[in-house]
Amino acid sequence: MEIVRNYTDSELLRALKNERETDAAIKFIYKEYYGLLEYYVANNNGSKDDAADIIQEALVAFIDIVQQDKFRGDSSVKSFLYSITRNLWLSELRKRNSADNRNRVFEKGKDETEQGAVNQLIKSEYYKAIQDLFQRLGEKCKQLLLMVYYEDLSMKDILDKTTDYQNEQVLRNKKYKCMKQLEQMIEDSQDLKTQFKNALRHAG
Amino acid sequence: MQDNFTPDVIEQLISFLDGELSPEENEATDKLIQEDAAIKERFENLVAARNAIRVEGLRQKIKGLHQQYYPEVAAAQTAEKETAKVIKPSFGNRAKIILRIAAVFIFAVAGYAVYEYSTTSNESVYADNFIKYQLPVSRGKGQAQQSIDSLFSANNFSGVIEVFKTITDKNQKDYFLAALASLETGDSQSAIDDLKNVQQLNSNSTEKYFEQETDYYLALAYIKAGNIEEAEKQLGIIKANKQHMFYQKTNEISSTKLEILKMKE
Repeated sequence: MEIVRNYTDSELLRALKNERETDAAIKFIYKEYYGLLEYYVANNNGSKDDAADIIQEALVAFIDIVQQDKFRGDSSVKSFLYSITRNLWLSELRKRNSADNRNRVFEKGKDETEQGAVNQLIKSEYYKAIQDLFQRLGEKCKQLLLMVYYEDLSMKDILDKTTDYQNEQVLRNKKYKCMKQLEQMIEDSQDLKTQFKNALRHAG
Repeated sequence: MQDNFTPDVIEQLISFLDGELSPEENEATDKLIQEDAAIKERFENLVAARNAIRVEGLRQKIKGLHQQYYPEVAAAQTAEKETAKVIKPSFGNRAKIILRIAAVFIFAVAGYAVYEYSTTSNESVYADNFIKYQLPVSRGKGQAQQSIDSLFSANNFSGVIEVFKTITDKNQKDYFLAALASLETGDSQSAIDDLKNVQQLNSNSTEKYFEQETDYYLALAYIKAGNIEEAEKQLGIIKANKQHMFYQKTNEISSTKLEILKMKE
């Protein structure tokens, strides 16, 4: 195995906010914590594949929390990741055991440290439902919206990167069209509105 | 919910979300959102959509990195389990110490064996055991003999070989010096041929010359040529005769190294 740089918690959090260091930081998380998180899922009626899915979800939630500056640092990264993984896995088990999948309630954290993660996970569920709608968009729309909102590229950068659009105005019009389409799908979904209200209620 | 706005309002909200409006337009849009519940709800949809897309990008990235990093984690876990299996048997402390010492010893022996194997070659065994032949001073020789002697003494081995070729009636010494000159110039096969001629002449003569020297240098020539089986036969002849002038030297040749050379053949 290739040598992986070691990080303290504060170095790791800083690296996760720096695009150029994110990959190395995630690699460190895999090396240090993957085994622990996998062990938890595998010893609670989960398989290694379940663990892989849940750990990836936990990492997405964790990195999003860190990048949104919502990680308070009251607990260690290890404890926080463990807490997210546990909540996600318990939620998944409940979903599997319940006929009513719409009523997804995360286990309430026993301490304040976990509460932030729980709130974020409720929002994550809401975002996940929107992501399902996002997948229904055309390929060009998906690519464009990811470039705008994930990669944070300017209109000029996108024009340089692709040959799909003649000029900035055509590109901007396409962005409006795609975003309006997604927004309309959200607006038309009653399930999402219920989830959104839940998310707002839990997030406080 | 009221539906009292045109699609242009949504575009305005997207521009507001993306920070593309002028300060005046920004202020006006902000006011619109605050005052109209329906517009506020549509704006919240857009904010959620933007956040969901950002998280989707992150999810795709993590998925890619998982494919990359998980095999390494799995390999490390397997290696850890294998190590645990080796360490698992429960012996007493004394047994553990003995096992550790044995393990160190085995590693040391194995390491030495690997080192010996990798460093032993025909050339290295030959060079370790080659003794430079010093020609004894003699008088009353013919012109060619004087020439070959002086060339040999002067380490002009290619000269020795050239003169040797011109000699029509070659004796044991001619063949012997030519053989050593061939060894010195790296031509082990010619050396073998010439030394065999020395043996041939000696076998047909009552007067034996360079007989014991030929035994030893023929063995070295075989080693250099990679014919270890023939070399061992020659060495066996020497070892069988305690009075042989190369008896001591022959016993110093490592039989382990000869075995290694045979394995490498």
